[in-house]
Amino acid sequence: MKKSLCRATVPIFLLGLLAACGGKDPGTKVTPAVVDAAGNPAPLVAVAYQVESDAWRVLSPDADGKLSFYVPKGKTRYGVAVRCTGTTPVVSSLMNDSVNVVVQLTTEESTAPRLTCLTPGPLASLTGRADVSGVTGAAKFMVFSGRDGWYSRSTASGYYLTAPYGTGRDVVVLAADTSRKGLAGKLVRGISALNSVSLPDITLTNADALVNHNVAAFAVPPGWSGKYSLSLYTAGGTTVRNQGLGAGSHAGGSIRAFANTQAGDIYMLGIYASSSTNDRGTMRLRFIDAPDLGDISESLQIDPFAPRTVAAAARPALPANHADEGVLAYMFVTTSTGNFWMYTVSRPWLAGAEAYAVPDLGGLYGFGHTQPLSGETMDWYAMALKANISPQKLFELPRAIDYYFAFPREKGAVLDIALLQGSFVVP
Amino acid sequence: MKQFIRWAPGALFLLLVFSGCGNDPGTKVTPTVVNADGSPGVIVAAAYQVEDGSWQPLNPDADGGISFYVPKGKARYGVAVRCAGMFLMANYSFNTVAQLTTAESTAPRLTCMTAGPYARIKGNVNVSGVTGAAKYQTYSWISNYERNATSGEYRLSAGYGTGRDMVVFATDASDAGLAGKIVRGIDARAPVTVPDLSLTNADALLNYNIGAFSVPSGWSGDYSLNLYSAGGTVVTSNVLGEGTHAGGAVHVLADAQAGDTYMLSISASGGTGTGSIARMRYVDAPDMGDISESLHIQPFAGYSVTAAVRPVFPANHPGDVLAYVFMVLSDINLWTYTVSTAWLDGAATYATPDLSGLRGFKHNYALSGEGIGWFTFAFVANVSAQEFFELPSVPLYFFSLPKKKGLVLDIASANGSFLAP
Repeated sequence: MKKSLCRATVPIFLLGLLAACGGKDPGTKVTPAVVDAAGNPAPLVAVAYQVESDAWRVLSPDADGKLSFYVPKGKTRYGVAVRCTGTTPVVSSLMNDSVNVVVQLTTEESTAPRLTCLTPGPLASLTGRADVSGVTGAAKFMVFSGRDGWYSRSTASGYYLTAPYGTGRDVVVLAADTSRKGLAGKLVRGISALNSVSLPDITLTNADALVNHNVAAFAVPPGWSGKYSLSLYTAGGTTVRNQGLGAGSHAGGSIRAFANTQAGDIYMLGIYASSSTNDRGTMRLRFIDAPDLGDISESLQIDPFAPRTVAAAARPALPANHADEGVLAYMFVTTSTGNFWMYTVSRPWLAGAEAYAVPDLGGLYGFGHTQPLSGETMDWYAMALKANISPQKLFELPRAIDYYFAFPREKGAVLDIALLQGSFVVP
Repeated sequence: MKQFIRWAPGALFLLLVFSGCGNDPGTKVTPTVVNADGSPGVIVAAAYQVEDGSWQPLNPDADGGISFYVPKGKARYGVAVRCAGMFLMANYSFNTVAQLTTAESTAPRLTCMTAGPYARIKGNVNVSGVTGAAKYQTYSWISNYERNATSGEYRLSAGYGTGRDMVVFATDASDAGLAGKIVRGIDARAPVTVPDLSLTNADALLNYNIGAFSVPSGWSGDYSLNLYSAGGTVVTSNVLGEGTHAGGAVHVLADAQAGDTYMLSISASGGTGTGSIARMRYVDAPDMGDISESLHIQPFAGYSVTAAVRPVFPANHPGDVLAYVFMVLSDINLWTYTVSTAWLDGAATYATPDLSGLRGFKHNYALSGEGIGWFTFAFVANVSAQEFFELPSVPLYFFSLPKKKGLVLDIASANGSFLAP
């Protein structure tokens, strides 16, 4: 008995020590990763976070530039906001752009969300010469990297591109006819873009002809117009968004893929419908690993948003009221003179709210002058997302950047998205 | 005696407290970081160095301010910042370094070539009432808009804030200014539509004469006039007059007033590879008149820089140089280094520091194979080192220069380019 008493005091003592030393459970650790458009770690201008609906607080990166904070026990909803350095390719006034990304979700969905800034990150330049004169019918060629496109009006010329810094990069050469229809093309892999690189000459012949597949007709809401297009996101980080790979109406038609794409190169087939006034749309995006690409029959699987206006405000309340119970998250984009904001907000975070009130971060260090001024025009976009992937993947997967948007990208992923858009003058 | 003993432990205790917490940390340095237009800069990364020690990361405080201590007995220090924002087309990272001594300044101003916040301004202008007018030009902040017409719209940006201004000119077909005026009191905290502007012969520019100046044998010389208005507008174009070292006319605004500063620049160059020399004189608008100036600084002789990602610059100008400014530009990175002669402490070269191991600076250097352009400027000035490092600055293309009425800068420069090895 004496012995057991004696043993008991030691654990109790240790327990007391732990409590005294702050071993109290701090809650759930959240470690957001912030990357640029190429997926490289992005330098940050400013960071803030929020727990539940509390005030936003400035968050300082640690010595390695990593971010982390705790969501206290019993709480799950949190937000992270970052301002990245650099400009987006799409909202560039080239003066003082600010590129800001916000995610708001719950710890159950992800504790390591990936925030993607549409900023270019470090770049290397690539130069070379391409000759597509051996392709029957070729009138021009294009070269694409993960950052840039070079458009030549002849069948043989030099090219100059920038590409994201790093090894294992690739470029894609595409020969087209006078109507911009792709005829032949190939991927050139294994580029070490750690330096300014001079690439060997690239020659395309009829042996590099694109492979044709068919996209079936699909239905669109009455009075709406439909279209489809094919894009490519290569394993080496190159994006090809070009009608040369096939684009057409909802009557369907052909798509053209590269003969030398392989596992890890992901095609994205998009089918789209938009209202006659172009303020509403729906789409389905299917990500297909290259070896799995073939004829495709798809249909739109999400209803449009109900028509809706948004009251003009510097920080508007954006619609988050799509009727579909399968919606996992909403993405919102606002742009004004020199300022770009992208918000990704999960349905559990919204907790039943039918509108998303854009948070006011203007008072936090580094976020000053990232807000629209009174009198500026603000364009806004709201998207409701359904997906065949988990919320965790939705928030953590690498992104496919498509114009203003950054969609989770993974082979086999299918996203169904309803879009609303509009603009107003900020009061 | 008893009382003394009773007090002694107390004093001893206080002494211990002071030596533990109050140990003299040395001299506090609080750099100010600004954008090209003088607005507060936003820092992506910062670092500092004492003497020739290793560079240390420097974290901004909650308000974005930075400070550090130079220990007692030491005086030489360096501070480096990377700023957020855009100004030049191709460059995505803007980095600026200052290396000087605490005796010169403990509050140096670091100017990034980044644009600050701004608001759009627009309006319509009519200059058809000015005899001989062929076109109009408008300026505000670091933006300008011109058209080959005597009336029409303009679209500009103004630095965010109140008390901003813009300048409108009527010019002849060769861009020489005929008439002009300053529109003041613009509240650029929101997009601005300025009431219609018109210029007539009553707004004619005033003409003054710049005297001929001599240049080194075989060299050619130029003069030009810039305006930095009180409300932040920069006019660096031939509209205010330019010419050769034979001298000639400059054209100034009749309604410019105290606080609007002109900068007359006279310079000479011997052509490729010789570098150039210049004198820049800041003149408050009411003091403007005919000016006779001469060049006062020797050119660099046989100046060259060996190809390297982080070049080593000669710092060997024979004049009474206050400081050097070195610049390195590559595809997406720009660095400026402002280094005092006192910091160089007799060294004949300046090795640009390697900050690539510090967070935020990793990818800020040229890659092998990229083209690098470099510039060296040696400054002689009629102000103290403290003023040189702390004065407000004005942008001149992708350079910044200190600004103060009455300030005279004599500058020898060299420049070149190479491929990064």
